[in-house]
Amino acid sequence: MKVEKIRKEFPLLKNKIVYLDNSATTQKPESVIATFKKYYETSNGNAHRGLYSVSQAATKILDESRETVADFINAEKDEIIFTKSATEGFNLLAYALESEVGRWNHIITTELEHHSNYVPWQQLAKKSQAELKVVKYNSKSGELDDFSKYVTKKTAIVTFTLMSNVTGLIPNAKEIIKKVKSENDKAIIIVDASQAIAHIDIDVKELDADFVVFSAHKIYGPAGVGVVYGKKALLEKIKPFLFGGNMIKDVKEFESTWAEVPDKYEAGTLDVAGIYAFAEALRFLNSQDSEELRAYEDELKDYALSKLKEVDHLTVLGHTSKNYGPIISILITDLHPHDLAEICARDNVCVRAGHHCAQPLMRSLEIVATTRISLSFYNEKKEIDKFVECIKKARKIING
Amino acid sequence: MDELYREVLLDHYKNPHNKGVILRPNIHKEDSNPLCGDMVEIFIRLNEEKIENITFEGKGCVISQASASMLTDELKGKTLKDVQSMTREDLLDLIGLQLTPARIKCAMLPLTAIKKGIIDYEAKK
Repeated sequence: MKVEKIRKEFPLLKNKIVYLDNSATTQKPESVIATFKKYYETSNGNAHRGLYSVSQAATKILDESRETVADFINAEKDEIIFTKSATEGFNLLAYALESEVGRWNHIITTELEHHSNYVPWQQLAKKSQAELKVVKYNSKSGELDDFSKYVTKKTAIVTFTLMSNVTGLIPNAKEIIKKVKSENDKAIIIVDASQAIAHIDIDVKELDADFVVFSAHKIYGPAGVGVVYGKKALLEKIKPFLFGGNMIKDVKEFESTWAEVPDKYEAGTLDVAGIYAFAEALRFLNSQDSEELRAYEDELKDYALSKLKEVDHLTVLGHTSKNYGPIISILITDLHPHDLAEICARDNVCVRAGHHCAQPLMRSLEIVATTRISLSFYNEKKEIDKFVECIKKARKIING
Repeated sequence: MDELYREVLLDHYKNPHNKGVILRPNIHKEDSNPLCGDMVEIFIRLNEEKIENITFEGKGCVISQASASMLTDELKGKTLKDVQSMTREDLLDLIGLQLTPARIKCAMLPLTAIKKGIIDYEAKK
């Protein structure tokens, strides 16, 4: 793959930066950045509100962008709800699904989850006096425990990630969902696609989860836009999260009725420019050969793993099989992640140190922090070499 | 030479002063900075409101652990009031570093723990 060519599309990468923190946020192509200017210079009006040209232009852009997002995951247009982040998406669901959980029920999540797909369920369980069951992660096999052990007829909600933001593990979602449904076909299944969306194909019809949540900024779009995909029947049934403008059908003095889906979940003025830019990011990806990008990311991952293996006293979390995305967390016995990340930062190598908002996993592994690199198709092998050099340099500085 | 990882700082990290436990301390406080995984546990023995002995246990990055080592050196013989009036700037002067906001948290961890411990101690009096 011609990585030099694709790098040229990303203005920030021209700054001699080695950007290896793509799980935190990806860089943006020029066309995505340009979309904001185009929108505010030509089409800025409040969508759905005005009869004049720019409001109609904004409405049209919103509508078409929703279609682009829906197509990207093989959903229907009115199954796409825009939020401000994936985090807001999970909170929306935890609030909207309150009516589906009682004190006789339980909610299932996993040790692998990011706090955004953990804490909302933990808090919902508390509020509804339901039991929270946490599927274990087996650090030896590098796999999640069998969901069958946790699911019963009392299971109201099952939620899990499609790709761990710490280890990169890709659980076998189709198999998990099949198992859950065979045990309890009423359980509502939610998946976190925040990391997966940039690295694996997601077809919501094939996957058959009830809800899929992700954000734009982890897939080359802007920050401030999140997506909740939901099956239409469920979206119609459950209650709205935010009240206010756009989401109502009729407001009487003491009663209100709600607009149709998706408007019912989109109170307030949406970030149409951001949503437009997000659709542009997806158009950018659609114009690439996705198989080639995926194959290259895999090659980068394997290269990184082989280079890291050569470093003394270094452990890679997971990566025990091919079912891992290009996210690699490492532990080095004589180097604290924070010191390593700091020394990397001085050479303009951007890596992440910490618990990665996944403290349940850190606790289960009996560690406090890792150093993480997460790769994108715009990364180069020489950037991985630079990171490995930084490890050696850090070790020399700290340990002499 | 590396400004942040100066010889003196690394020496405190590798050979920390005042590391260990005090049995039956007057003040005992554990605090952590979970975001980066730094932890310190502070032990203080008082003699008429003055710090007679102060030690720490902990694990974490160079900055947090070296800061604990240097700070515990500095605080011996000081009053609790002296400690409470110690500011962030005083601490950074003491360890002689210019730090980014993320790393200031690491440096501050031991002082924050000590101040929290003093508040607990005062409340119990």
